[in-house]
Amino acid sequence: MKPLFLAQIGRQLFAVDKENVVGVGVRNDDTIKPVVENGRAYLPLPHGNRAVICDLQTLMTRNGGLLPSKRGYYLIVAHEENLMALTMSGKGRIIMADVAAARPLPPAFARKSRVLIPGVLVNCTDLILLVDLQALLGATDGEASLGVARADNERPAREY
Amino acid sequence: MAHERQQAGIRTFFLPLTINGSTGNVVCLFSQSQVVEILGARPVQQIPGSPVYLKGMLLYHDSLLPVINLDDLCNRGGNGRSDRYRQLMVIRTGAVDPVTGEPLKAVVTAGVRVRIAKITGQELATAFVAQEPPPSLRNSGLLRGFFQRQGDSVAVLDLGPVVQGTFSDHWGEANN
Repeated sequence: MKPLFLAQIGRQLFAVDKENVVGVGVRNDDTIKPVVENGRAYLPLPHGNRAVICDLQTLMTRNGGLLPSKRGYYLIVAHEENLMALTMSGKGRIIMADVAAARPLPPAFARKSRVLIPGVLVNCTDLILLVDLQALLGATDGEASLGVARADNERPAREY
Repeated sequence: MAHERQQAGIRTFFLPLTINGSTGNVVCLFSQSQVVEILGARPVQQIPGSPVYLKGMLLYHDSLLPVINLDDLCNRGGNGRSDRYRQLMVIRTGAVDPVTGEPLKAVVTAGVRVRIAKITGQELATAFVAQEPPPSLRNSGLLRGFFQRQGDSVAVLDLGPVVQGTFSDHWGEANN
């Protein structure tokens, strides 16, 4: 069993390793405006940090559908040298899950999807998609260079 | 006995399609042995990074099945028409998983209700007349037959490459 952070995006459930989670922030463009630089959007964070905004919802709605979007939050995660801000619908929660029981996507899905979602957890009728952060970073336009302070993985999750 | 069944008719399922370049009614034919179940509308788990024709994934009797929109599959270059559907048809594709060897099923979305008809062996032999398919269908790489039957054009598709994942590479190249 492993602690995961469960994020809801529209009606879909995604999970990332809890160890990577730095915090959760309210998505409110009036007070904190994302900065666009070289075609990538960054979320300014306290202490001069910033996080690459990774919008999973956009990656899903490219194929035509529109997910309901109410008040949103950012899930701030640290991955190697990068901080990433994943958009999500709710605040999310921490769960314990047996990741060894995760199943791969059906072979119909393209390599890109299979790398991005390396496993699917089945919980009754719910499907929880495990997200590969490196692949997500790549899917939202190549490598990002933050050039600012490195995230401290040991920091407990907090609300910005 | 088998002869009597053939006389009574084989149940077939006609899924209406919207095909670019075709003015008449086009339906996709599925045989009774292909169709596992027809489900009502229910949430489909979308998967990021999927091609336009893959609407997501559905948990069906402990199996994860891809959800396919045939209109988007057969009209290459489209931007995805609609995610709305009335029914979901669970089908056997006849293909097997290249890794596990398991038979692969899929779910096909139906924007309008699937029509069910019984076709006798005699009708199969006489009423289906082969005809030239529209270019979008012909170029799909999945067409196995195209026929005229009464007022409908009937397409027979092979979804094996789609569920095996070999079609998505082909699709990606064609759309780049």
